Amino acid sequence: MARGGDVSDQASRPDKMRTFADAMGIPESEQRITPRLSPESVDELRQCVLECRTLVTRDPNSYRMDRVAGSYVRSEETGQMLAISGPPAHALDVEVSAWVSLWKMNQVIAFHPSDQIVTVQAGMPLIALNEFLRKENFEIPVGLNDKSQGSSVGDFIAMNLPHWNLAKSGSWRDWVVKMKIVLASGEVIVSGADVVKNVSGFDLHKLMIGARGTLGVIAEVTLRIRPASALREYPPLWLNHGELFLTNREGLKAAMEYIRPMITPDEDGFAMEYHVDEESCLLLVESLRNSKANTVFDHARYGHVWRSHVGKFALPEFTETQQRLMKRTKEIFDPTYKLNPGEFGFI
Amino acid sequence: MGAYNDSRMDFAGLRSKLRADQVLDGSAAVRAYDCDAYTVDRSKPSVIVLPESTSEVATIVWWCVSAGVPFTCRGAGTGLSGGAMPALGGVVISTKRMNQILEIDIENRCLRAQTGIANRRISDAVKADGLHFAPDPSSQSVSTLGGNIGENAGGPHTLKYGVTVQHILGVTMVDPLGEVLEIGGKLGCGPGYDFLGIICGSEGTLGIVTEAWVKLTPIPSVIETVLVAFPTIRSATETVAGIIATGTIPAALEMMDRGIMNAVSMAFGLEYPAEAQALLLVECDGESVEAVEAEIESVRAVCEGNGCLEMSVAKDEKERARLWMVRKKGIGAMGRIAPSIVTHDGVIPRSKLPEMLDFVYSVASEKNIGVANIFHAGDGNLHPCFYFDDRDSVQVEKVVEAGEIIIRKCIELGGSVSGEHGIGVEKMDLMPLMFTPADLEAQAMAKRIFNDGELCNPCKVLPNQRGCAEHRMRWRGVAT
Repeated sequence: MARGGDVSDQASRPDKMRTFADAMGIPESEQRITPRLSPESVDELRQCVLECRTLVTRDPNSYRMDRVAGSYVRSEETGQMLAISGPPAHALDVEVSAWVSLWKMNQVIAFHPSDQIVTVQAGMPLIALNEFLRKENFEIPVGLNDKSQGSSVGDFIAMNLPHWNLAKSGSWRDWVVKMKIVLASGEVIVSGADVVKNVSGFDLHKLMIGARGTLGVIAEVTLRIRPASALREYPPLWLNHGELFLTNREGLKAAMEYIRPMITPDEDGFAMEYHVDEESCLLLVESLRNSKANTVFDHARYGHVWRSHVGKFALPEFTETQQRLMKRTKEIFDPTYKLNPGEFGFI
Repeated sequence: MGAYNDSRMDFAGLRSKLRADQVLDGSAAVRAYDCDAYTVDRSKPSVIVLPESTSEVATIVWWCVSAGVPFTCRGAGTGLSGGAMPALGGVVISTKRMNQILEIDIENRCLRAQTGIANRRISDAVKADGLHFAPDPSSQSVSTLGGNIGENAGGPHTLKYGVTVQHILGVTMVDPLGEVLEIGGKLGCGPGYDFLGIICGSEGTLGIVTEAWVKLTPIPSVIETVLVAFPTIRSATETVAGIIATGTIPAALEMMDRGIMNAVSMAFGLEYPAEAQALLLVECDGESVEAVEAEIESVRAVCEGNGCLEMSVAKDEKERARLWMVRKKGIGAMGRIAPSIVTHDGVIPRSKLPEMLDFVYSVASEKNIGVANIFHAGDGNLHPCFYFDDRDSVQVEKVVEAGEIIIRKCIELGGSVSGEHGIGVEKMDLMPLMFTPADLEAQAMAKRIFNDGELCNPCKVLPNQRGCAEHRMRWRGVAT
């Protein structure tokens, strides 16, 4: 790829990530969970998957997003980081052989402006990809504040993080056209093609979106892009105590009524702020106090779904069918529960 | 397989669970259900059943599983890759009588319906509220919601509005063992694995979707449609790339060649410029006149830059319908000039359109068969339409060969074996051109999540399935 050289300079990940981690106030100790492997190619990544008994593929440097996405929470008592996913009963207590970080796999592999697609290695930070695209006058219409884009493209897709532009531009599923995936077996497979419309068999890449790396490791992604437009400024999505709801119109109205009385600061000076996008029925509530009283939202009553469980109190709620199918899927794709153990409560 | 032999099978148990008028098995009926709109391969079912509810479908599937009888779901039978052909015989489960709208929620812009409902009827039901169901395959007046979900159907407006999967919030599905599953719902999918994403487009191999929640989309208040004539194929294909490059995403961007124009002229008496070799139909829509007009102006500039001959602008609904006629009636008109037509389906990156179209014409002339092109140019989704006489086995063979050569070229150019018609039985053998054995094994793993048996719509999508190869000659009518 002719443009590859330019991109690697722009995406000098260590500096960017250090700035990001510093800005987030993440102590160095929490950024390092050893041993930590940093493959530089799909083949090296494949070796990691083959050799580790259990491995976690999310980048600990971008753990802030994991917290936002509800998978990692710091214990209030000890200040220790706990990995959780699913109900609190599933707090992670499993041995992890290695962290595998894809931060060295951060290149643009192919850029085809006339076909409006770009292929990147999954470790490329979204912010670096957007910088690259902006120079070429393109964009991925994911409505996110720049400050929310420190994590890698692969992380965003694996977590299927919602964004402010959902109603107009769709979710990640609508923009990923192809993926290269390393399965738990070490097989490297491709799903999809470099085209915007495609019905060739079972869409494995869709199954990987939002699977949080539990079914395979996303190594490369081909995304649709579009000519740059004036995307508006979005509120950041990495708040400390934030919850993001995707609801319907009725639910949005009800939730707003619930929230409005709470925007006045209480005696401790805590107040809530909220951002609302009526078109996509997205509601972000931030600065929720860490007390039970403020965080009890009647899910059933307001009819919202925890789209991606943003915020530490928003834990996934699965239907019985969903749970059963997920377990079956996990056992087919990762029978030894090697990939991201603990995630979704799979141990 | 091999264990199932319909001549020894007694369907009394199945009949006892349904009314007499819900079971068809006369010779005319089994012939009518031996294929869908892909007529090259055929295989007769033993019986056709017409359930009216999810629970009846579950009962039928449960009976089939206990009796070891294969079953295949069928909507309107407009599929173009043989997805509804009962490959191993057995039971065809027709959703024809499952055509009710169950719930409409205008405020939240969604609707729940049984999946045998025709696509167009969904839009008709909410038209007065200014809403519609956006996926609009050319067959929409008859093709069913279930069929659209199975094939992840596209249509002319998918360029802007997306394919079926983007408009499905949840499904009720009878799985291959007869159990009823609810996946997603009125609010879309919750957290966790995106099963809806693989059910859409799985061609009825993962179960039978009996009900679905669909998203409703506002009908745009301003629509502008233009039909542009070009002197050469290349000037039209280059215009397509040019329009996309400006950043304008038209609601539809369709192309028709001289062959289609001739057929439509003969059938409906419509006139197109004599020197035109290609037409582009461009539709832009939006909420404000200014914005839509700005898009049309940008389209006009690209068309003129590529030397277009003429640009007709629709002034009202009637004229819009007339401009669309060449696109909507094109395939039907082709049917009038030849005993048989086969419409192929492949996708390529849009920038490769000029090269690809040249290739399609050269293949047709090498094989000495007729071809006309009518397709979703904006998506890079080709539909070369070969016309021939299916009573002549030599011609049939040539058409099949030409299709394969064209699909190989699509893949060579970075595209895919199918953009919207699916794999079915038609393209199973072409899957290994696009995917490695490991890729296909991973797809088989995804299939196993729902379907670990060999009864639910067998011998579709994935090549080299156990017990399927020996039936292929029979489908093509060259073995007894």
